[in-house]
Amino acid sequence: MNYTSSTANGGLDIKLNGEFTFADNEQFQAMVKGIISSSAKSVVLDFAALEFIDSAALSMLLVMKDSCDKARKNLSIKNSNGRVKEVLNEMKFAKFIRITP
Amino acid sequence: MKSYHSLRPELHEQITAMIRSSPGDGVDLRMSTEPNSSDILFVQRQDIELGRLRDWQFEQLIEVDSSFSAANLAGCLRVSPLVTLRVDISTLCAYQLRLSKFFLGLLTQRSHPFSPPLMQQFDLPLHEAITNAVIHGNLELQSSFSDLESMQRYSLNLAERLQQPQYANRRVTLTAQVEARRILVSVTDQGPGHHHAFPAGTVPSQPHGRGLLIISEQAELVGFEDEGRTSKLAFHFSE
Repeated sequence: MNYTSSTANGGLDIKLNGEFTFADNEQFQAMVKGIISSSAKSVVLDFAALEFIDSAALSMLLVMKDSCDKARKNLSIKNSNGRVKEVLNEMKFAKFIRITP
Repeated sequence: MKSYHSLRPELHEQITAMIRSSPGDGVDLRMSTEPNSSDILFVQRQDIELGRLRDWQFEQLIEVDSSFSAANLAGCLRVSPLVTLRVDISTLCAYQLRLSKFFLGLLTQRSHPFSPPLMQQFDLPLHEAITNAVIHGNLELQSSFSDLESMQRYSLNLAERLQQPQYANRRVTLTAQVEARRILVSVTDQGPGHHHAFPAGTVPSQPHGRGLLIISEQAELVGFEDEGRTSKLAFHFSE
């Protein structure tokens, strides 16, 4: 998995692409630390180019949500599609993290 | 008697020496003069790449590393004739590789009747079964991180286990049996067993525990064998 981040309207927009599994945990930890240390009040994960996500990556997203909650930042996911969207739906992930189209 | 070939001359020497040194272990193998689709192919970790193996015919792909033994070799000869493809690799290799994608890619290269969308559909549940075998089976780790701190600890534990031969040298074995309307895949680890627990049927509220749910939602979980060390999944297709 690779990601790029940009700021817009005081929020962070993070675009993820490729395959997201536990193999990405080190850069994911760095991403979470970067989010926490930023002044952004909202964080949007853009899944448009994400092709694969597994259960470990879902767990890591919940860790990010926990960190954002503690830092009083809003976390959401947008633009998921294909198999990634199906997995988020099947795992009822909207119960935990806000998902927008 | 099974026949084998290898991508590297040094592997041939290693296998030959192993066969000679274990006359009582039932290892009955000969080197192929002409590689064929029922062969065992011995490789090293750096050879395990789809593009590199595209032109090779084999029924079994076996990674030979320093821990590979005559007992592993004998295991290659006890494979059911119904098995279409068998891959037997170390835990370290299984962790570093996207093994489900690789395994399904090998099946597709052998012209089995499923399309890229079907392959995508099978990929995630198989990946989750392999992750269970590697993480909870061979590396004996529990998925119990709930915040950044516990995730960092988990990540360190995982990296340490991958450095410890008693865990990292354990094998992960996949077999596929292709039938008229389904593929039966088994995933076997060498851990202590009993690391699987069926989900209650609802989405867990804690950060972990979704792997088996994904497997049962997206594939037919046929069952477990060998005290939980082997999980069997069936993937159905109609095309």
